[in-house]
Amino acid sequence: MTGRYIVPNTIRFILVLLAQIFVLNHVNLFGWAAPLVYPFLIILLPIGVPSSIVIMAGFLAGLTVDFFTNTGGIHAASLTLMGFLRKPLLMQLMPQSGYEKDELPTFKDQGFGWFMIYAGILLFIHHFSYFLLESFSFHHFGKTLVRTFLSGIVSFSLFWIISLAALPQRKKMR
Amino acid sequence: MRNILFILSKVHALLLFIILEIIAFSLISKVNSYQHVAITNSSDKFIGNVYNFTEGFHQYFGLKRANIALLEENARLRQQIKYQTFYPKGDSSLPKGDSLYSYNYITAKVINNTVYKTHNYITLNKGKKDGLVTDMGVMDPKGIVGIIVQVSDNYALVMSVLNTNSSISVKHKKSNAFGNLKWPGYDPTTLIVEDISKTAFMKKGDTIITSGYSTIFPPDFPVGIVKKVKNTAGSGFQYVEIKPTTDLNKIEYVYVQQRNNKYEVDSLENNIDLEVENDR
Repeated sequence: MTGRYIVPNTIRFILVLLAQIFVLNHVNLFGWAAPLVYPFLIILLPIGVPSSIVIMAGFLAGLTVDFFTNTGGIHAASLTLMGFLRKPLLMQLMPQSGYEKDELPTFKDQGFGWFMIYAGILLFIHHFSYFLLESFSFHHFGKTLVRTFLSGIVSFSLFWIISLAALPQRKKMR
Repeated sequence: MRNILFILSKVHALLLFIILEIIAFSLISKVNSYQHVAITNSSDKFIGNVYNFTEGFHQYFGLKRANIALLEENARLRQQIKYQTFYPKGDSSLPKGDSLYSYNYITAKVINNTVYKTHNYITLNKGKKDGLVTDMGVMDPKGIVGIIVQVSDNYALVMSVLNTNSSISVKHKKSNAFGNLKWPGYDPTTLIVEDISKTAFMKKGDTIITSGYSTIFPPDFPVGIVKKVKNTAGSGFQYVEIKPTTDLNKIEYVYVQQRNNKYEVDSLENNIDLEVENDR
């Protein structure tokens, strides 16, 4: 990973975590859907970032959210799992020509369909493990699944809204 | 050589993953046990300060609601004063300052609160310095809220009644039948009362109040209104769903009950337990 990614990513981590902790953690639609946008921090890291750094970043981001929500290590555990499975998934989804150096796993670089599958799977892994650990039993399995899907849809929609709002600026910069 | 490095980097990631997951799970298990809410929680000084700061903004938007709640309580207190005058001052036939039920109340502000998790906690802006200790009951004007599980110098962490680990002794107002207040999770407007005898006739709309058997809450304080009664065949108990009298999503100011002789009562009860053990 080249050094120029470190500063913007650190700033992005801080901003997204602040938004998650102080705004989104207090949002809950009908008791079923809780938007969790911070997994996109890990999802959108450049493809070339070494696996161990991704896992470590996931753990730290999750733990930061945990510190503020009295959840022990639930966010950390699920985001670490997601960070660990990111590399195998990227390998599975690799196009025949392979990834280019410094390529980003975004819909702009990889195409809409690719991104939906990639982000969808990772987001599902994170949300499902999070809600499973949160209820801490298989007793409410159906409810956990419903919560996973509803929250996943809300998280994904929020992400799209945020990135669409940021898009016009990028065009000007070109 | 490159292959070996590749394999090494893979093993490295797996190792790191396992270590971090072990740390995360040990933190989770700490939070799930009742007494050890240690290490990571919002009664921590730094996090408490941050929440205190953001609560300043949040509070501004809740001013109207807080005002209405205070007005309602004022009205209720005035009503109580009216009844008080039935007992003339200085009447020696009445027990003077019933010492068993002598309580002090400390007011505190809620600076963080959740209702949609399985283990919900509330953070208060007062702590050890203000005289709070663990196992004190927390209530708002309308009903009970939870029990303090941890205190730091300036902040306190409350286990909300909306926590699947919470268990509080309550009773049915009409029949005085006792039960255990629990939360099954998921719905913040539904609590359940377990182990309440079938002989107590209960119906929708009945009031559930604190029993006063535990020294944590004052007796006869409102808890909830019965929503649904289910009789399960083959057991001597009924399953009662209740709606909490206080809207736990909107609590802003709470009272913490300081019982003056709580420790005396508790240590007395502990002594009895010990003596019974010794007799065996």
